[in-house]
Amino acid sequence: MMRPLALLRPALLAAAFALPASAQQIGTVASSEPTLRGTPPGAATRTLALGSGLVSNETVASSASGRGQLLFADQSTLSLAPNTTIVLDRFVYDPASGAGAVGLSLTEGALRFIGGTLSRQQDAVITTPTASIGIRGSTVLVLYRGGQTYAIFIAGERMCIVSGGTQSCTSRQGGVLTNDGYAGSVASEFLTLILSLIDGNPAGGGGTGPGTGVDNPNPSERGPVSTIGEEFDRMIFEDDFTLDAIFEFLEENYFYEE
Amino acid sequence: MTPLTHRFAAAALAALLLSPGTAGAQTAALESQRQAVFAQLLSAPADRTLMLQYARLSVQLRDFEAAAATLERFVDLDPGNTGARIELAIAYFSLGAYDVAEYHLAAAAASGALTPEQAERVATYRDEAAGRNQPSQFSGRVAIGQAWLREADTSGTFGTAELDWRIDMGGPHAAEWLTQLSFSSYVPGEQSFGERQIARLRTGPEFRLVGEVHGPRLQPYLELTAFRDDSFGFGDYNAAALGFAYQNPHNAFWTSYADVQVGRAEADAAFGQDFDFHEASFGASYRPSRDTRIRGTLRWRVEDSDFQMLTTHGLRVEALHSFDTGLSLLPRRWELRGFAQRDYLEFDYGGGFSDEAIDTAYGGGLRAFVTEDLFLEARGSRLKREFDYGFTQEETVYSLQIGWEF
Repeated sequence: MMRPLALLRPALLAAAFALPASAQQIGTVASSEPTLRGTPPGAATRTLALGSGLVSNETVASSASGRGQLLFADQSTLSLAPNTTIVLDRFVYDPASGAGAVGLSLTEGALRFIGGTLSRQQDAVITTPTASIGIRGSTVLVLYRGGQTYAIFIAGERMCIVSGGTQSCTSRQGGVLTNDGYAGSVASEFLTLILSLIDGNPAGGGGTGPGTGVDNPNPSERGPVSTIGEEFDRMIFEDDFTLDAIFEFLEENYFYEE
Repeated sequence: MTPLTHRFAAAALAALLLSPGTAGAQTAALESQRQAVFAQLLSAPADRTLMLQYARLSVQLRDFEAAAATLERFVDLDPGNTGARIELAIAYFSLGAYDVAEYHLAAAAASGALTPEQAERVATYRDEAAGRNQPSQFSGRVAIGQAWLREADTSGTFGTAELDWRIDMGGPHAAEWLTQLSFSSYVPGEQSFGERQIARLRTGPEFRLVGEVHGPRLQPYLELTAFRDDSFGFGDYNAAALGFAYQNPHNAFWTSYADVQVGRAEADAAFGQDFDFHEASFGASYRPSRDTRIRGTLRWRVEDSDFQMLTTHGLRVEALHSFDTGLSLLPRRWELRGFAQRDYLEFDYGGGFSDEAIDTAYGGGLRAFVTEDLFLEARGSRLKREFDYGFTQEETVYSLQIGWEF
């Protein structure tokens, strides 16, 4: 039997979605250099500084020298390169139930999407003027330039692109999808180009790091883990092979019959 | 089993059964803490104390993508912090994003500002990332040592070798051709009929069934086995089997798996017995932490020869735990393992003649890596076979090996 709260959840969610779009804060600006500009629906363009709230259907644009990182309520992160414009046109999230959807449009430029709660349950969708990219449990880089869409699968479960009515998918880490479908593994020069666009050139200055402890459970000999902690166990099918070799007299029982 | 052994086994079983509940409660508590920190972070996104708390909790929850996202913002706020960039690289490395990890590791190396320890760590991860991006990858281990059989009162050289060869078959879903070669040999150092060798080759493509990186994988395979001993050639045989191996990690804790095969073994001597066989195993693996695995496997096998049909079914439970003592005088990496299995055997000789037996085996081992690649391993195992007419066979084996993992 469903509990009363569970019965109410769809109604609460519907009510939340029915609020005026401009009232829904869906995320915040987590870093910005020098500034981003945002245009909420039906409102004037404003400057987005560190800590500025973002609302549904807001258009966010970076200048020729501006970059920014946006943090969303479902814990996903979006990083924007200079000369990039996006519209947060389909972002809804109910923290109580964990339900919602992530969708945004990239009209020009480049971005990095690192998924959160929502994209691990269903595809997050990034739309460009020439393609629609579905991302499951994933981190991707997307570049739209000269009428061509390039999407690079970094981590997660899979990434698909629909362009011209044709769908192509990849689950190869480093796999590149374009308007023409799967284009192979990313070349290091191309990856460097996009990461430099989004993050700027790496600076070097020393330092010990924040101390997240990420290296402790991930020594260099350890295999990869999914965005929700799944791992393959490569030793499952190796058990008791050596045991067979030593317990000789028991094994021989099988073959000593006359 | 002795009463003490019974009590130990009961305690171990209770711990196994309780551990999923305990781990689930810990995860829920950590997730609740993380949500609370995240709510604050939304209001103060550049608060480095909150960022660090959030990243640490994410690491504890095995959510390395969230850790990477936070470290991306950390590096953005403090782009000259090479240590933060190394942590970011390791977060990507853990997710299998070796290209991006290499980008950040190369940037850290090029900064010229690494401490000797950082430089060594960066070099280690870069080597590993480069290796994992190769279209052809080898890994395995070789070990040699001595084994002692207590009841048989023999001892001899005990050698094992395993080689995994993965070939990237290309394509958008990175299917791999996986070949596994295993060899095991026991050679008594005195006059004995106990010498034996087993070699096994399994090869076949491994597919991602639903086109997801961590979705179910299926490997149809061909397996060839050669068995040799020195007991006048009675037992020597060569076998070929076709089968498939399936593995599906459902979440951070649970993985299901299956292995099914059918094949034929041909005796290597004229007076040996050929037999057909088919077998299936189904199991589940539970990981309360990334360092601990507990597996339970149900097994069933039938061997059918002109002389008899042998049906075996049973259950094997095993546990593996890796740990680091943190003491510089001791080896860095340790692996502790234990197993217990019980199999029921039915020998059907036809014409209404049959026997039944029960095999019970248990054992444990400890592997210590004295360097990154060299290890010492001690094992002990005991097997008991009880026939329904009252006859019992027992054997206890101890072994000590030195090995190289590559």
